[in-house]
Amino acid sequence: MKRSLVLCAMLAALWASACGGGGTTVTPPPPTGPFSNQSLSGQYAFSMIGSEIASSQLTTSNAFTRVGSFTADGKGNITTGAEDINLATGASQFTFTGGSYTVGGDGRGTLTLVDSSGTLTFSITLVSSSNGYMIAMPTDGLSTASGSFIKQDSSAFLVSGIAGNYAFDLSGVDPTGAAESIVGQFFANSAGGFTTGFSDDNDGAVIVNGGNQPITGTYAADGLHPSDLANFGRGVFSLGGIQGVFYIVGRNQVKFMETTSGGTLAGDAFTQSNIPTTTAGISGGFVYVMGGSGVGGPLTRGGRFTANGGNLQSILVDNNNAGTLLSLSANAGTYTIDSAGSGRGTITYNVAGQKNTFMYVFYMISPTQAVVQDQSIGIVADGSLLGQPSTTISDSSLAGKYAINWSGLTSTNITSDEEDLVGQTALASGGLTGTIDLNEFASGKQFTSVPLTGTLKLSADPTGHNTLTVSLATSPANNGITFFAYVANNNTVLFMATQTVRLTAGVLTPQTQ
Amino acid sequence: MPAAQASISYDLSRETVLEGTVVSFTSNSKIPPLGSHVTLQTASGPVDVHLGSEGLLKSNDIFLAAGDSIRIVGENQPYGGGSFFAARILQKGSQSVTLRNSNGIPLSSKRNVGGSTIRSRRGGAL
Repeated sequence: MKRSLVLCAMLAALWASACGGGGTTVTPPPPTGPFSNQSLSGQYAFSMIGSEIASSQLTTSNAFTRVGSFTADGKGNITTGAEDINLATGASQFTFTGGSYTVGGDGRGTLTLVDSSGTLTFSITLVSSSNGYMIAMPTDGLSTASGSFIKQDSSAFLVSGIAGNYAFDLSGVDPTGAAESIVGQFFANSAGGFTTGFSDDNDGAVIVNGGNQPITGTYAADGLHPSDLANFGRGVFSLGGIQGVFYIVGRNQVKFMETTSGGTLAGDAFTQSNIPTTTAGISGGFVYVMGGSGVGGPLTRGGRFTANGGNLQSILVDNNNAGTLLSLSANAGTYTIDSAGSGRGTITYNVAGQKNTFMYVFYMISPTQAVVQDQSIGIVADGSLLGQPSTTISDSSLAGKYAINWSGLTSTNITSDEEDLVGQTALASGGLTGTIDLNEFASGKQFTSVPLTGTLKLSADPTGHNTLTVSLATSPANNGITFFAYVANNNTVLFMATQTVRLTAGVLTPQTQ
Repeated sequence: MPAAQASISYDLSRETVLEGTVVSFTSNSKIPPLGSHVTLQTASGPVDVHLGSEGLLKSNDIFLAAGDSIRIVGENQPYGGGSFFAARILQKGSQSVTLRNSNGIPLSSKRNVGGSTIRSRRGGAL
């Protein structure tokens, strides 16, 4: 199912570097803050994962992915760009011929991109002038999606712009419609070859060939559109049997999307740095949120642990399994890390009363950042693994302004399907106030400029799960949406819904402008 | 009462077949596990069956209503403090749809390749 929605938000969180009816809009006061149209200036790569209505009866939704590039002139205009869309039937490419955008003082705004098929409409929130979050906001209600955008470095728009060791995470659905996650690592030789690498493919809860399989591949300019590489950072790739397109963000990040008919994998690869080769190189607190599917249906899993010399302590794992919440804890587990430097590691622990062992595989991007995949029996899920601060987590340490993005499934709408949210909120003394846009994936259920209020109530041990409660002034109101929240380094807060009728996950990312 | 399990495994060797009459069909259950459910009247009593994606049924032109006779291949699974019947294959007359893979993971609907064109669907929507 739409497992990748969660991942989308989680991965976007790493790289700074769905309720109501009616559609009534509440008019808030003008936003204040340091952002303006000038904050969005230059070339940005973007990627989104979402759902679209495909049936002629307008009743059946399907997953889709999009990846691309747009150029903002700092004055509210989109001057050029390109995108590829995979509707699970193979991908199509479009060129943006124009568009427009607005950015308010709080970093929130709108974005339209015009191509030969029409005008695409998005709501955006800037984290900084370099990156932000976006959701699709078509008023016809025929699609929704969530993703992120990040400034591109055009000096890397070369084949040689992809060079060195990268960790990657691709997720989506396989050609049969089952959730799939591929995490791994590759070495790009700067000349078009992924010459070495390893991956773990969890395809519908089958760990293909047991995981940790060698992979190789190629990357190049698109022979049909060779100038796209220099213009947009766009090219084509083949990696471990997956074919698709890439967009270079810079020398430290590349966005990938499968384009062959049937599958809808998409994700990012990130340059690896200071990769540990011993368990001693991984220490301290870590948090994660993963999204995916279990036998019961959509699943989110979040948690934390302390790593120390190959041993795990203070393990907490929260599961929302198709609407049933289960929080568990353990005090013993183990982890490993590849001594050869691939960054691949494993996490294993058991919880009293649980029949199945908890098993994760991760690939490190840095000593405190990794992509992580759940390989526990009967589960396919993935997400981000982030280090926690060594300093005290408190209301005061967390105070500030945040971009907020969540995505997932809800059963509170007229149908059980996707919801996406983006916006901005201030956090002070544990209280949240802000404004958001929300797409509930139905006609007339695109809510803009909705006041948000809530609380982030820290637990006695704030390194564990804390309680995030959000109310949205939609009409009718969405009051008391509850999440477990996990605090990571740099005040990034990952969260997952704890409700029976909502399986969403998201992120609070501090705004830095 | 057995402890609730964070993950459950599906085993083809444990599959059973349910045959019966639809009592009710819920496309969008708010009772976990989320998704579409059908209550089936079997010879041994009513059974709540989790189907998963309603879209998958629709995309295969399968619509369920009270009184329909159907056959389901699946497996009873522990869930929360109780259990549910996870459907892998549903048959209605000559129609059949696979709802889960062999590991029990629910499948999602896929766009019909032979359907309308991408562009016409995009029309300002995507």
